[in-house]
Amino acid sequence: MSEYLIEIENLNFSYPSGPVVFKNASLKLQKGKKVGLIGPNGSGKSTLLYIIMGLIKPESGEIKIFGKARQTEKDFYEVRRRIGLLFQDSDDQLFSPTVLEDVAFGPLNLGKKPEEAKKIAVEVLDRLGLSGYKLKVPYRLSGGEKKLCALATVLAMEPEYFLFDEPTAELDEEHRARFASILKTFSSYLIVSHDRELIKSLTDQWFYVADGKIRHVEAIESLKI
Amino acid sequence: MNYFEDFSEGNSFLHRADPRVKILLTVLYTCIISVQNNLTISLLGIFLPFCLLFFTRIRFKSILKRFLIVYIFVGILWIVLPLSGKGDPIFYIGPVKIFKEGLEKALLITVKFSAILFFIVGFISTTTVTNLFHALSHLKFPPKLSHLALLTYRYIHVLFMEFGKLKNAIIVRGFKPRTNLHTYRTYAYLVGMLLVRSYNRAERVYRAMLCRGFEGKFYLLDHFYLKKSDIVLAISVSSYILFIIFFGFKYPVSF
Repeated sequence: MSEYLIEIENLNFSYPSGPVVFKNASLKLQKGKKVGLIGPNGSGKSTLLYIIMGLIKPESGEIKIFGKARQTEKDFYEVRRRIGLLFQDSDDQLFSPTVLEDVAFGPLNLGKKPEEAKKIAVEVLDRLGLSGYKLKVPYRLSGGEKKLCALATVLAMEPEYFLFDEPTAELDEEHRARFASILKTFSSYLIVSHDRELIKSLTDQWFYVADGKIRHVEAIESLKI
Repeated sequence: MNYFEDFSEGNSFLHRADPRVKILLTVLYTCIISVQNNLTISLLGIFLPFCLLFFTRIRFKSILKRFLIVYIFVGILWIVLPLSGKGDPIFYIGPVKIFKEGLEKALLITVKFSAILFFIVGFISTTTVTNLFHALSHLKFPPKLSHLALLTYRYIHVLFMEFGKLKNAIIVRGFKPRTNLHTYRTYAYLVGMLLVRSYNRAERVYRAMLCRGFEGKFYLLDHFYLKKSDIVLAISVSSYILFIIFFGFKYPVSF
């Protein structure tokens, strides 16, 4: 049993329009670590998250997640059930008529019965302090509320690992603090962010993405995030 | 942020009635009224929904505004239909011949149209779009179509806001619409950009669904429960329909 949750080797990927994003890049992520992924805009950080979730297929490379090689769409079904991805834009993540249904969407897809899915959704919303939001319509919420509801939708699937794509980008100070305090209760995740303070306070292992490569970094003070 | 006037928020007994019952009654009522040639039945057909509308406490001013737009079409019928018919014209407006048959037809259509319109406003407008499509799915309407419709509804609002953003962008750069190539080209760019953004948004939402385990199958979260008042409503409306059909056959009205 490999100690690594996610292993990527010899990753090659370019956008259809041309620019090379990854050239023989590699990355190994362990369970129980809080990882920060940093790098300049356009370096491919979000793309890497999508590759891990199988939303984008690389040109070449070995991807092993939970000890199994992942290549076809079917291989990634298990990945999506066990790893949660929080998108940068909450509007993309909240697509159901009410918050409750959005949060229940994940459990329903996992095979839970409607009653059970509803119970899980209510529990997760209560845990995040969003009890009053069950019947609210997602597109009428504020940025911070949307982000927390989006987090609830991911939490409801009880994933083993989390991927956060610029989680505090749309948040004001109050919601940023709230988000950070929720994150403190998680044990393993990967955060992509430009927020220096967030990275410093919530992560203890860092990777720098630039020029097609993913490099492990010892001290982030030296780098420009 | 409510761009679309919503009558579905309210607390009357029609608002609270089970959407499945409301849909079935609407289909029944619409089918029966639309095949009527009997004026009595049609007139009585307006009476019930008209009364029910008072109970829904809908803001009449806003409804009237919408009705006005729709009745323009009916108005056109009144101009066109009386000009044709069998036999001799019953009177003349200057050189124009007006026929009884045409007038009858116009009146019948107006009455039937109003009956169905009021009924739909009372029963369908008092239901939220989400409940409407959920109810349809429960009534064996394909869930895929319902979900498509709901997603469309949800993202129309998002697109509306995107359009607003694009419009602001051109306004703050001093754009003033005129009849020139620059204006047309700008509008074309706006529409094109909206299409591109919609496509991108759709792809991102699809990815979000995939990430939450979506594998092609749509599930429903059950939440409709038939109450006694719903059964009472169904029986009352059905009885009324039977009554007016019987009454209409016994006492048909004609000019």
